[in-house]
Amino acid sequence: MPKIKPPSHSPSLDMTPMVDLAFLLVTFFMLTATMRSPEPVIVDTPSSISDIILPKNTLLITIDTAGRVFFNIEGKQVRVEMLRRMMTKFPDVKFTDEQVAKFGSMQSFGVPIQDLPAYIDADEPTKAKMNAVTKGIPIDTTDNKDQLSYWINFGRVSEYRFRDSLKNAGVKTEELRVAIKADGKAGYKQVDKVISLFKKQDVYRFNLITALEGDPNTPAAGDAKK
Amino acid sequence: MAEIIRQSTSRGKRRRALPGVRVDMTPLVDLGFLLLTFFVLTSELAKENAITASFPASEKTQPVNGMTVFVGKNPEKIFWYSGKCDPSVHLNVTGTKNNGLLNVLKNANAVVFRQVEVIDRQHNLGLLNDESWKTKRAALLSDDAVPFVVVKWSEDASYQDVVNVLDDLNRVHNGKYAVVAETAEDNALINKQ
Repeated sequence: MPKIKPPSHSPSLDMTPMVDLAFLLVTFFMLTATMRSPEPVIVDTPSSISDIILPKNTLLITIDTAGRVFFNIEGKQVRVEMLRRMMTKFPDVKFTDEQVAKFGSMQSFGVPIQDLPAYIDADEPTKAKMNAVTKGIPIDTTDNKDQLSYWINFGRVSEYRFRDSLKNAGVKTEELRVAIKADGKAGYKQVDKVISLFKKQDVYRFNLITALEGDPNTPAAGDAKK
Repeated sequence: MAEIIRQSTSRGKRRRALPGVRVDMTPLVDLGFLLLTFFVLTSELAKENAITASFPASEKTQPVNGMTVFVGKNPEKIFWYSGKCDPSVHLNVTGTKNNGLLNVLKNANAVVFRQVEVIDRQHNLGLLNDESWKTKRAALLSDDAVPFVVVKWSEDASYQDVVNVLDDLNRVHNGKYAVVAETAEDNALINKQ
């Protein structure tokens, strides 16, 4: 009988496949994850039981507790074209090419177009200050001061043209959806004003962003829903 | 894989294999999984839920088979009536507590609600294929038995309260609704109560 040799090395595990796997997953999540866009205001959305995930290609209207309106649309090219159209509509407000390019990679904003050049150039703390004092994008139709309609209109036109060019290039695209992210405590009157602006442009379907609440079948969930 | 094979350079008779140089991979694994956890958690958080709602263009007069819900300042005092509106109509009152409004809407849409639940269950169990489930569901949702609900909001109604009603309508599979502003007559009707 041969002698059983005691192991000469301490048992060591080959970790290589584990490292491979971990980094593969890291790469996957890094590439697929889309970062949450920075919000100009904190909005506490109402709760619902809907588990429908918000579609990707959205025009987002944010309404905070005070009823201030913020606007956002995705896509650099779309935003640049939208701003160029706004510039022909409001020739008094001057934008440099640099500012237009910078606007392309920005997110949600809520200042009247007259303040927009200053807002684009501002650094983050100044932007936060401006967001705190702004009255939001003007939506008052009575004084003909409504700017939101133009943003919506030009945004939709620019997005449509951009999507059309993608479609012609054979890229699969998603239709633009309108999402409304309003604070639960905001008055419905203000939300209705925004919706009626969309109705004028023949938009009738909306995604109302809500926070998922608990199981609807338990009475506790009904109580929490207020 | 993680070892470097070293060629022995000694040419003497006493040639022996040198052990490979092993690299300790543990910190690398730690880092990898740390990043992994981070990305899994953050990508999970960025999801947003939404309810899809349609707001019809024309604010039509109410059809016969319908009901009206008044959303006001107090979510525990929601007035509603079914059928046609006349000045002598009796307003019922309900609230969001204990699914009050949900049950009212469910009762109004009881027949279709039950049928939709049945086909949903059949679909979940795999007894119904996607296509026939979709067509059946669409047919049920546009059935004449579904009451048309007019949601009337007052000046002091909050967004949450209106969304609650829309959410309840979604829950009872009622897609026939319109959200309109309260009129002066409606206001008088409520004040009479």
